[in-house]
Amino acid sequence: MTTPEPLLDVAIRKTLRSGPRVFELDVRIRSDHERLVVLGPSGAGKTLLLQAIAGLLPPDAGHIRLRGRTLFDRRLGVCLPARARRIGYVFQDYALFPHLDVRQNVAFGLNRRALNPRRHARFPEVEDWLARFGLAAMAHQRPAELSGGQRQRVALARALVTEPQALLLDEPFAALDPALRQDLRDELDQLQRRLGIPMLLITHDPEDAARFGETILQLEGGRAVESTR
Amino acid sequence: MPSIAAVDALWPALALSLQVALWSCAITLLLGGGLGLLIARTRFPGRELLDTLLTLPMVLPPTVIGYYLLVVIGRRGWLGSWLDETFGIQLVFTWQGAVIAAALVTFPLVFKPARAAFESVDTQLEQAARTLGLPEWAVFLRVTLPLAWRGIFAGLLLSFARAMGEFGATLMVAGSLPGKTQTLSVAVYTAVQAGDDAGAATLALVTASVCVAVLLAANRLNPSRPSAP
Repeated sequence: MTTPEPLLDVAIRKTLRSGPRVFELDVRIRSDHERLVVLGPSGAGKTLLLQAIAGLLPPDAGHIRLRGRTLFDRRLGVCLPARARRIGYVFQDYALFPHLDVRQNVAFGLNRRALNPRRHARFPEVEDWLARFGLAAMAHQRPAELSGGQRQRVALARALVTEPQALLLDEPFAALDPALRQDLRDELDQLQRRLGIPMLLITHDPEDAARFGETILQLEGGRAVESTR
Repeated sequence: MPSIAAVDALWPALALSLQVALWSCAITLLLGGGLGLLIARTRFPGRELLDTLLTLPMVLPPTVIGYYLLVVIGRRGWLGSWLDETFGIQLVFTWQGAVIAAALVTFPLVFKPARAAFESVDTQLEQAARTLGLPEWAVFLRVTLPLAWRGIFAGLLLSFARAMGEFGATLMVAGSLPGKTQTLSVAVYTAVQAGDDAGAATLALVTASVCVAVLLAANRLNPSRPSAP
């Protein structure tokens, strides 16, 4: 009996203690859709789930498989470090490197050496993403000088330039004003369709879920309460 | 006119002071930076107690530090006697002894800002670097260190200025051998003791000038000061 491997197969448990407070994350996801949305209020454990998939937070038990590749399996003793998972992560407030300009930020993941890319270095794939996102004119600016929408594009370009196998987005539109939010939803929508890259987006905004959720998982208090297709 | 003796003592004393201060800085950079990183980034029992002990040289009188140093590295000290018997190394009344005295006195001036600087680096930036494929050492060199170095360097300059002026512990451990262990600040004391007021004034002026120059440089690098465009 062989069942085909789902695109994303997650079954993890993680207990976090902070003083007397205990938080338990217990999530199961099996999805074949390229667009997965995890919806839930803040404090539901959404970011913890993303961190676990990205390799930034080791779960206590369970497994994480992406396209049949095991990223984590407690029983097999497998836990790939974040650097080896090839998963793009767009952080909620983008986590752009403040000491590097836009071009250096985008080029950051292209080498794993001791030094950051130089200001004057040019890489075709970086220039390509800068042009695609309309960032070429501000390539020499620092992240602090950019608008919210531009920052998000830099964060996306920085993740995508390394050709990740999946893209994780933590509340990608929360930091933006409502008018811009709609534009950037359209942009991300088109981008995902063009690249065909599996995408997991976490949000508290039902509008994001309606737009991107082929699979929608409701998360509350660390538990998946409902899954809709 | 300053006396011949004081002028003759000036250049060797200045050279020795610079030599001692530079070596002391190298030691405090390694130890203060390393322990600052350790305390900032790890959690272990007794962490705050260790922090307090490491800050102690800042508040102890230098003569007390000098006394304890003699107890440890003096010819009959438990480390000093071992060094003497095993390697034939004597530290008391040598410029290397003066370096150890200066490094111990100035250690907290690097350790404290280093801890604060490492604690102020947003760990999410380091996580972003990990998801972009960087191994831990490269994360440190390309994200952590560039974001923390200003604070560490400002502390290092302070420690340099303080080491240039170190007197109490230096005198107790290294003595005042002209051309061998007589630093500028010790030479000032010797000149005053000998009744050579003009010589003392010249030596004091040189010491003060060097310290003013270093403090000006430290202020320029102060992380709380808005950086120049």
